[in-house]
Order: sequence, then structure tokens, then C-alpha cells
Amino acid sequence: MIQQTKSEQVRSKERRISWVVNSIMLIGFLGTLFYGLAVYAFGTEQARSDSEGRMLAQRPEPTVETIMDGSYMEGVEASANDQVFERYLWIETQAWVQRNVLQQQMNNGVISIDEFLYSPDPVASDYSSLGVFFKKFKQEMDEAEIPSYFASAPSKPVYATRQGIFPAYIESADAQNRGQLHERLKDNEIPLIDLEETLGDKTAKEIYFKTDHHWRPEGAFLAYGQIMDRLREQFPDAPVLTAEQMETKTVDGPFYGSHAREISMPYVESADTFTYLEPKDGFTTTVCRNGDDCGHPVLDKDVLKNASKFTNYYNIFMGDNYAQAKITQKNPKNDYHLLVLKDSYANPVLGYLGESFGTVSALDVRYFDDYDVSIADYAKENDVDAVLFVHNDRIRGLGSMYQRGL
Amino acid sequence: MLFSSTVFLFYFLPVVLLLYFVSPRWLKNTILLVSSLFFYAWGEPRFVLIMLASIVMNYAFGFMVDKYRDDAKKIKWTMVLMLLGNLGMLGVFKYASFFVENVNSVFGFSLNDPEIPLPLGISFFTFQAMSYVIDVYRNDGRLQKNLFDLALYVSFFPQLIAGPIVRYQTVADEIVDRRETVDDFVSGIQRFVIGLGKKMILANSCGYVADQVFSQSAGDLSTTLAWIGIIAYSLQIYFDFSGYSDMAIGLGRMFGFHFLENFNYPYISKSVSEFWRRWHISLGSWFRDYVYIPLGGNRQGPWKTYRNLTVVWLLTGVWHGASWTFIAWGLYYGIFIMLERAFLGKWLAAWPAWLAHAFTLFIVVIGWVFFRADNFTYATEYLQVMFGLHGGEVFDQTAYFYLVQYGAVLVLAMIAATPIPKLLVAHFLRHEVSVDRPVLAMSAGLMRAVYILLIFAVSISYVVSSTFNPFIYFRF
Repeated sequence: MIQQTKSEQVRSKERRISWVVNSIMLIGFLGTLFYGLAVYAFGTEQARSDSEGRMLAQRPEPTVETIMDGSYMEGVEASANDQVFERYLWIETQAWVQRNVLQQQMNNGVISIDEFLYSPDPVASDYSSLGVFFKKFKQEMDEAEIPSYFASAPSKPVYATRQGIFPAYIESADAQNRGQLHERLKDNEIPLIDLEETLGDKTAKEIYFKTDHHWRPEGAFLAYGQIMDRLREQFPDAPVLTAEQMETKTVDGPFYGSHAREISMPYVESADTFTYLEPKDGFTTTVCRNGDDCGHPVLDKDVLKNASKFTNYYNIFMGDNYAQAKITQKNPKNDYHLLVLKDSYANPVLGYLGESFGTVSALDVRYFDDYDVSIADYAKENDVDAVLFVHNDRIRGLGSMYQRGL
Repeated sequence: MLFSSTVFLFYFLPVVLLLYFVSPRWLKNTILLVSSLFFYAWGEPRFVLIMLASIVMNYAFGFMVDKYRDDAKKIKWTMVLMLLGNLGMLGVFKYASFFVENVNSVFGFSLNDPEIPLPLGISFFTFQAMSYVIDVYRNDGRLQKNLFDLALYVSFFPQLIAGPIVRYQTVADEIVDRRETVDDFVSGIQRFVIGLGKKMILANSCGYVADQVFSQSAGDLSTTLAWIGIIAYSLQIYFDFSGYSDMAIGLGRMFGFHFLENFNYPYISKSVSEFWRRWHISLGSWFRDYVYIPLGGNRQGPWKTYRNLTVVWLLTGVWHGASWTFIAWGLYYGIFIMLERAFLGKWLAAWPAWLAHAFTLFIVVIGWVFFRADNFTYATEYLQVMFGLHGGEVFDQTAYFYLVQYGAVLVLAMIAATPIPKLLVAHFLRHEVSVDRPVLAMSAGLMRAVYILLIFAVSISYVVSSTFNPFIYFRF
């Protein structure tokens, strides 16, 4: 009898412990699943993710056709991924585990070294695709008698390679690729403005953002000086902004650039302070975007309004990227027309160039896919006096895009 | 729909659980059947018809077998038709392109490739359906008169597209009469979460390394990198598949079903035969019970035994995919199992355990090269690199990078492939049963809950972070 009572007591204790543990498991597991379901089914859909710099997928409307061909399901899966509750918290958790538990030094191809984030490119390229473009382009420009120049900035990985910053296990073909790019320019007799001459002996802090792949506006301004040194051989009376004419303005709050968003926050040791340069008397130009959307400033300070943690302040330069942009001086200092072929790296420089040339047109090579453009026709029709490429050396993917501009 | 997707975790599973547990008993199987068909249709709606055709066909064969079981001639023809029907369906959808390609190649024909898309999990549900008819024929399972219950057995979503291959006799009773309990449900949660963690944290990380290495030309690899690649793949395929099996077993348990184990730490085996008793157990036992033993097994002398083994391992290779590399992989194992039966097994038993273990691992890892390579040429070149016969480097910067970047996860995965973590957890949680020390017992219980929920949270973080996450076994 006593034994039986004891056994019942033991079972009762076991049941109590089991009940508590089971309850925690059930609440934790089912609570997570059903909370996720409730948010997806009844929550307000997020339109955009600043941390990822993209629009988020929305719940699709089902139709018989989309259900039968499976595209409805794909849409639901995409939106379920994008609209999952606390999406960025999950992503940061994964990055934290990856960095601190699994000891992975890189995430999404980005590595953090001494507070700076780098994205080394392990793939070697001979830039043959760009070489094909350069050959045809040079021929067309020669026929139109329009001089062309290529301003080549060292990318962050090239800078890191030159300075011996990367640990031995990091593969980076960036410096080698830079050499190949310059070879292709030399092969086709396109004059090179090698911005490493000016930027190479500066410290990383002077030229680059820690958390973004772009250069700082201060680095871009130094590059502008070297570019103008060369262009003034053709345009001797083009005015040049000097450092004394400029003042540096600082944006309140932290700036987390493209690399920070890629690698995610657990890998980011410190934020950038975002600065921009502005002539003390202000810029004297106005910008037309994509043809007829005119009256914009080269520094679009609307970007600074309603800023969030991941606001891309770099968009202050030219107000983002556009297929075509035209900067004109309100009171033209000359009638020179410079055509800049570019990607986002050139955006800070465009504002400075606008102070030197009566008109600066900019074509963004990444949008050549979206519309028919012939660089040569554009240059001829708009009485362009010179064509200037402004890129860093990390452009091995742009060859086919440039070829569409022929 | 993948188990490791947000749409499954936060949409499908909670809805099905809710509907299932609020439904009256008589409606529960219907809920599971409709959910399973929806689950299957989610990926490729048109293929539901093929699965339904398979179900109806085998339902009819079940009746025919039951009716003609005493008529030797009719039962023989029924079984032949059943085999032709099932294997014909599998052959058309899975092997037609392979057949045409080889006929064209051997005879110089130019037959058009029918390019028939492969329905998800067709190998799994076909084998399950065949198992039903054979079990009824052998009186190992009752005739299922309810078409919907048979449909549930074949299409039950936890094991539908990547196994384990559940034999009819295993779940026949539970389909008709089962009891869901809180303990089973919680145990199912644990098993599901462990599987999800295996898949998301270990398999995918190892898989990334393997994919990167195998995407390169074999001639560009250093010897060290080739070994890193195949070791990563060996770990990926184990955690991917055993993780999926764990999730299937866990989900089944939540609904009151008890599937048999499919993996038992295969990488600790000390012989190839032992490896196959621990790896994809449901497939191995299927071939043993439905092919090897009916062919005579090992009871008709050594030569017939070797013939039977050859047939079984040829079929094992073919089952995994319509490619000569899979066939070679199957025969490769067949050869080692025959060698073990002839003499190697005795040698291995006499060797020190570590040596037998190392030898087995070596054989298994080499076998995975054929499994992973797209063709023989690549497999051969890759093996040459692994053994330094390519004249290239032994170690390079890329190998250095993968060791630094993924060394910890590879080591973690290697440890997790052994029973060590299970023993450690059991050691730390041993006080959970010390009811005479309630505080200690409660602490151990709480630790278990925290451990599981932590793995669940980390796994979800990997699910959300990943955008591309196919299961390797989906196309088999």
C-alpha cells in the first residue's frame, strides 16, 4: 500500500514536470507557427525593405490560369518569404549565428576587416567583352571626331590589395582585373585617367565609406580634380572647383551602406558618418531626369528627410540613378557639352563636373537594357564635345550592357 | 512545398494542425488527405492526376489480389500486371528520356527525346503503392476497402515526396485507428525541429561548399579542395536526407502516426554492409523484402546470392536516377557488398575498429563522387584530382579560404553525424527522470525545451535568410 502510494507520487511528479516542459514546447512551437500565420493572413503588408534595398513581394491574386501554371504558388511563396514577421530580425539572427557560432568571416561575399567592409571578387576577367565594345566605340567616336576619356578609380578591394589588408586566405582578382581593364583601354587607344595616381596614397578613411562600396564625396572630389587636370587640356577655360570653395556637411545619424546591408548588422563593427560637399555659394546647376523631369538639384536633400536606419544617403547625389540625366548651368559659364557614361560611382562627380561644363549629360549604362540608345548618335545629335567614362575598376559585368549602347 | 519554407511553416502546417485537431474523428483522415493533395498540388498541380491514377490503379489491384489469391494463375497475372503498371508508370516518367538518349547513342537513331517532366516523389509513392499490393498479397496487411484511406497512405504529405518509404503494414492499423497524445505531439515537435536544424544549419552550409567546388572544372581544383568538396557533399547529403526523414517522422507523430527510422548514424559504420543497414533503411528494407528475398536471397548458393545482390544494387542505382553515374554508384556498392560477403567482411571484422571505420568511410566518400558528378568524365577527373594524379596543386588559396570560412561548420557537421551529440544531450538531461530531485528534474526538462526551441529559432532564421533551398531527394 505504502509502495503503491509512493509510486503514485512519483508518477504525479513525473506528470507535473512533463506537463510544464510539454507546455513550454507547445507554446513555443505552435505560438511561433500561429503568430506567423496571423501576421501573414491579417497583417499589413510591407511595401519595401530598406535593409535589402528592394520592393517586397505582395500577396498575389489567384486566377485559374496562374494556379494551373504554378505562378500563383510562386507568388505566394515569394510574398510569404518577404512578408514573414520580423524578417530582418531573423536575417540578423542567422548572421549572428554564422559569425559567432560557425565562425564564418564572410557573409554574402563581404568581409569585415578593421571596421571596413570589402567585397573581394575572386573571379579573374580579361575584360574581353568590354574590349569588343571599346574597339567599336573608339571607331565611332573617331569618325564623329569626339575625343573620349576613361576615368578609372580603384575599387575598395583593389585599394585593400595594394595596402596588403586582406588576410592570406582571401582570394581577390580585383587588382589583376584592373590591370586587364587598363590593357583593353590601351589596346583601343582610349586615354586613361588613372585615378589611383591621386587616390592611391590616401588613407582608406579619406576615400571610402566603411560600410558602402562607393567612394566618399571627398574621394570623388579629389578624383574630380585629376579628371579636370586632364580635360583642361581640351577645355582650357573650363572653371575648376577648388577645395577652398567647398564646405563639408555632415548628416545626423549613422549611415549603413550597401556592404552593411549585404553582410548584415552582426558583422558591422561601426557605422559611417555620411558627409557631402557643397560649394559655399551652393551649386549653380539644375538637373533634368530622363528627359523632361526637370528642375531638380544635383544634391537631392529630400533623401535626408524621413530617414530610417538603412536610408541610402548616397542617393543624395543626383537623387538616385536615372537612365539619362542632363545637368545644365543656370547661367552658363561656357557652352561645352560633356557626355558622361557611368554607373552610380560617378554620381558625386557629376555635380562637380556640372560646375565646370555648360552642360553635362549622363547616360547610365545599366539602363541600356531598357531602352534603345546609341552612344554615338546621342553624342552627335547633342553636339557633345567629349565623352568621359567614370567608373571604378569593378565593371566586368558591364561589357554586354555597353555593347547594347553601340 | 518544402518543409523548410516559410509557406509551409507559417501557412500550411498551422492551418492543417488547426483543422485536424478541431475536426471530429470521422473527418480527420479526410482533412489529412485533402491537405496532402493540396501539398502535392502546390508544386505541380497537373501531377496530382498521376498520383491519383497510381492510387486508383493499386486500389483495384488490391481487390484483385484479394479476390484471386487462391487462383495461382490469376494471382500470378495480377501481380505481373501490378508490376507492369507501376514500373511502367515509373519508367515513362522517370526513364523515358534516358532510354531514348541511350538508344540513339548505341544504334545511331535520332528518336525525339519525349522530355516528360518528372513528377515530384514518383519513386517514393510508386514504391509505397506497390508495397500495399504486395503486403495484401502476402497477408502482411489487410485489404483497404476505403479508397480514401488508401489514398491517404500513399499521399500522406510528411513522407510523400522524400520518404521515408512507409510500408503499408507499418501504418495500416494507424490509418484506421490511432490516438494522438500530447507526449507524441511534443516528441513530434522535437523530431521535426531536429530535422529542420539538420537541413537548414548543417546540410545547406555544407551544400554551399559542395556546390561551389563541384561547379568548377575538376582540372582547376587542388587535391585539398577536391577532398573538402566531397567531404562537404557527404555531409550535405546525409543531413539533407536524414533531416528530411526526421521532419517526416516528427510530423507523422504529431498526427498520431509512427513511421520507422530511416537513418541510424551511417557514417559510424565499420563495413559497407553495415553502412547500408544504417542508410536509407526504408529503401534498403524495401529492396530486401520485395526483391532480394523473393529472388531467393542467400539461400540458393553463392552464385545465385551474387546474382541477387547484383540485381538489387543495380535497381538501387537505377532508383536513384536515370543516369549511368547512379547505376555505377549502385553497382559500386553491390561489388563491395559481394566482396564483404566473400572475404572482406571477415577481414574488416578482424581489423582494428578505427581502421575498418576509416576504410568504410573512404569507400562511401569515393562512392559519393559518382553520385554527385554530372557524368563519368567529371567523376573520373575528380577522382584523379583527389589522389593527386592530375599534376596540379595539392593545396591552394581557395582550399585555404574554404577551410577558414567553413572549417567550423564542417567539423560541427562531422561531430553531428556521430551519436556524440545525442549522448551529450542525454548526459546533460539525465536528471529529467530524477523525480526524487524535482528541481534538478525540472531544470533538465526546461533545458531540453530551451534547446529545442533555440534550434527552432535558429532554423527559422536560416529559412528566412535563404531564398534557394531545394531538397536533394526531391527528384528521386
